[in-house]
Amino acid sequence: MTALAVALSLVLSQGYAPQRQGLDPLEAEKEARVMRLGKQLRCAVCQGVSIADSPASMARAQLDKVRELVAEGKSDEQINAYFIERYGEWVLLEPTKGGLNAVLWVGPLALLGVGLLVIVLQSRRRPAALVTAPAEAAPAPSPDDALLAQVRADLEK
Amino acid sequence: MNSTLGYGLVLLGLACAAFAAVVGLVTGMTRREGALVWVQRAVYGFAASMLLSNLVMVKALLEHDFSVKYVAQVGSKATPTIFTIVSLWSALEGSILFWGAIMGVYLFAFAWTYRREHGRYMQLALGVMAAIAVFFAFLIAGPANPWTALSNPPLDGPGPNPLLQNHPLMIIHPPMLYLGYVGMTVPFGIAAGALLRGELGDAWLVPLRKWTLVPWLFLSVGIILGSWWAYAVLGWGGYWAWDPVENASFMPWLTATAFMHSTMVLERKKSLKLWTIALALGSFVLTIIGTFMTRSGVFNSVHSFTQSDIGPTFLVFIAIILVFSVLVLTVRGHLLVAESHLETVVSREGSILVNNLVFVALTFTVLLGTLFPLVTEALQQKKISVGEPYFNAMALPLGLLMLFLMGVGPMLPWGKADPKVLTQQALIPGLLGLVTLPPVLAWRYAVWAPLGGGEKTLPAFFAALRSGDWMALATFGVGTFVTVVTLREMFLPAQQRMAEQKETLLTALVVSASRARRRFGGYVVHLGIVAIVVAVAASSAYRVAAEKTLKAGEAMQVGEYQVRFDGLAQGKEPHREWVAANVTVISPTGAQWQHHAVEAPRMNYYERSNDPIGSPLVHEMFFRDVYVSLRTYDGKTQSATFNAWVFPLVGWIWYSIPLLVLGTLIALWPQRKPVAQVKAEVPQGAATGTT
Repeated sequence: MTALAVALSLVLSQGYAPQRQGLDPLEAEKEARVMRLGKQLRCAVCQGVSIADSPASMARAQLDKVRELVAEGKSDEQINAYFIERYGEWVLLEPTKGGLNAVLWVGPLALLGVGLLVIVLQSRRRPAALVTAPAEAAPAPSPDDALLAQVRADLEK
Repeated sequence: MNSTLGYGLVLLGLACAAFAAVVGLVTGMTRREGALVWVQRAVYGFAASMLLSNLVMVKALLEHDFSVKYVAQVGSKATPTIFTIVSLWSALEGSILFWGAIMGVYLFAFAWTYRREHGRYMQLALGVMAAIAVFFAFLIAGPANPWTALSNPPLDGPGPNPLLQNHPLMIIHPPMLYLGYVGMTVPFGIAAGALLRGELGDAWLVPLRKWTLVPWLFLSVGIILGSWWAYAVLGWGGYWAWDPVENASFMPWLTATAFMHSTMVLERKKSLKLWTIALALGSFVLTIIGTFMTRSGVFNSVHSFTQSDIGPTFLVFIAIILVFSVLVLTVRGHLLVAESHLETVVSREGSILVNNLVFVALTFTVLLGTLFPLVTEALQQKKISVGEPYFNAMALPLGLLMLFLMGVGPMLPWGKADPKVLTQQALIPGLLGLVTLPPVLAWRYAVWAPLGGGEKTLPAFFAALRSGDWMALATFGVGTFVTVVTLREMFLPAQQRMAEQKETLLTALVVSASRARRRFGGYVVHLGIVAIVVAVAASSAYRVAAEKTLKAGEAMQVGEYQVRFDGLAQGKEPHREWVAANVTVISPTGAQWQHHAVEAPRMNYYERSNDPIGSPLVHEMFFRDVYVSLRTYDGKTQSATFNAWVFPLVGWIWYSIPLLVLGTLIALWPQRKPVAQVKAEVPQGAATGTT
């Protein structure tokens, strides 16, 4: 506890500013681009948060790097390439769409499409193919049907 | 002493569960129903030993008995009593022990409720549940044993993880989630029991539905409280980050919600039997996969404080339940025959089918996105991330579609819809939905900050609108549509009664609601969900952010509010010390709200952690929050850097909890009147069902 008190008084006199002071924001339009790019880049020391969202010092430094590159007039692709070169594809929070990654983008859509197709086909199937056809669609009622209907009506009560 | 007693109780619980599992399954399959009473007794034995073992652990924690390994790991004499009790689930071993206790409570409650009913299924259902209990009791007794006795106990411990001590929400968020997760064991047992028996009668559907609704409610509340905690503690203003562990809790919620809807088709139309059963099985499998994600350390996340090496044991268990589920579904599935057939998609059952499809597609997206980095790493030795931008891009359109279906579904009648009636019914809610758009656009314009110092003109505004803005706008429109439809469906039966029986509004509402509790309760829940979806849209698309370094006395502007820095302060509590940046929030009307000392944005220093843990200031209002986070401070110059946000409507996410709870309780409340009378209550042309 005393160690903590010493540390705290030290901290209080000096403050808590582990990160190097961030660069000043650029003019608004460029800063908006910095933020948009920052949202897509993963903070290296955090838990799956983007460098635009993270308060960590490392993330602030990375965001400053984005600012620097934007100020130099680099394109989005060049800036992404800069980060991929240093941290690998891992740095992109939104995975690229090429190669195996296509599964990510196409998979859910395919599932949705196939599912809809099945539902529509099901509803178009001829009711006669069923064990128990709806009353109005049924052909000439046989004695069995009448019995079934009676049983069903009894169950409904 | 404590450790011997606690461990002995765990072993006793393991023995009871094993007995119940073997006897239940064997006698159930051979249909010797006399053995049920022995299965019940063993289940009670399991419940009692697990509860007692947890009580012994709480006692050990309160006594600071550091000879117990778990207490030495998470206990500390400086920790306040309430957090000492909470530390029962603040690390892996304790949380699994706690899991065992909840399992005991659920199994006991289920076995006791139906002790004289459903004899034909009970042995099999209890047997399956007990088999799952065996796994968890084994985990506690072996790989995750908290009871190991230390021969050289330390004099004091480090205390629980500081992040967990930082906010009272941590006291209730984990138990809620556990109640949700563990509770899914029961519908799994019920569904597996039906499959093993080879039949699914109407009577057995009631427990299946009710015992899914209970964990569903806990899961919902747990997820919302978790997002609230993240918002109030982590300091970056977010409440949901598509973190693997958040995803893990979201997936069973999605499948359980889908189940709740498909079960209506099952009851009404006697179809979708296999599908509904598969959803019940799947929800449980997903909770176990979720637990594995949290506990194994395969994923890095906010929740990694509970990591350990129990991963392999879990993988084996996941494999067993997956194989078991697929096997019973394929071998026994054909016994559950559909008795009717979908006529058209434009009907209640059609809309529920589409709803189920969207829920499953979203579940699949979340599962795919969460597991995909592991796949590429295994196949291509390449590390990739699948983060927020991906999930938002995929999930938001699906979410909007779900919201839309929430309005369309209740309007559609069972069987076949008359297009004319349908148009008539959709007209007013649809128009009201459109009417909300201009005010929302005007609001967006009001909070919109022009870029590049440019002028705030309408053309520039429309040019600046992004896809997210349009999505939020659509959410407001559809949200209004759904709210109007839902309220109409809730009040229409009451209105009919008022006209026919000359009752007052209140009486008519209570009577009509109590005659169709599940339907009414479901609509109350729907209103809560609309509140959440609208709040998410508003708080993410219409937020305003600012960042500034201030000297004492200076103020910064964020949206229409001002935040004034009043200077630094420091303080001390038994378990931590803190430095606060006192601030005053000033409203556009000039009202001042002082947030000093413990209420101010702070840095907390815990003995256990080197870096301080921040806590933001959340100035809550009904329609918006002003959120101020302290990033850095400098004692010499008395200056501090702040991140500040205004989040519109964000509180509605957590304010929805009472609606969810109320709606679920209404739906769960036992129906006294026979069902036939409820049908008579439904006004003609109102397109309402008993569900």
